[in-house]
Amino acid sequence: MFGLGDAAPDFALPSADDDLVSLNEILDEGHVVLLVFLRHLG
Amino acid sequence: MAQLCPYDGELKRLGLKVLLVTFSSKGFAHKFREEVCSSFPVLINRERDLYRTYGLESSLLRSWGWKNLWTYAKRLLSGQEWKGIQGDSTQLGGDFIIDRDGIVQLAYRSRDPTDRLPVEELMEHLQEISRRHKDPDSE
Repeated sequence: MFGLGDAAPDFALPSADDDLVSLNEILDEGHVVLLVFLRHLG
Repeated sequence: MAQLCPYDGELKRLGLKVLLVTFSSKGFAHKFREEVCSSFPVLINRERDLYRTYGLESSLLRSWGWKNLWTYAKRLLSGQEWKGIQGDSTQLGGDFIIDRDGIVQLAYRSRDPTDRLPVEELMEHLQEISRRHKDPDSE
């Protein structure tokens, strides 16, 4: 399992608005990313 | 998550992007954005393969322990609406900060559903990383 100082695994996922969002593309734009994994939304 | 919404302006000013990941359906993601927080994009990962890749566990014991039941009870008693369970209630969440070079600067994997990093602590981390990017010699 990765930890601090490791490269974050890249991904591309569809958003609720049907856009494909890629981590690497956002990083290429120069952003820092906060990735929040939610539990169920109930 | 809702606690992060008021910081939307500050996050944008720092050049940060917040991505929420859920394994709930698109319909619930839209409802969540309408009712809880519309500031950030919600990404759909129904298969939860990204949860596994990021090392987030599923645990029946830790998801339905007394601590969590007590939290739900307090929410219900305070009049908060219960929408039922959507998907796997044993899946745990987490928070990760990834810097502009793609390096993990914070990896917080929840031990149980009530275990999330306080938003103030998250903001401190984010401000520090943003400051370091602006002034690389400060490390």
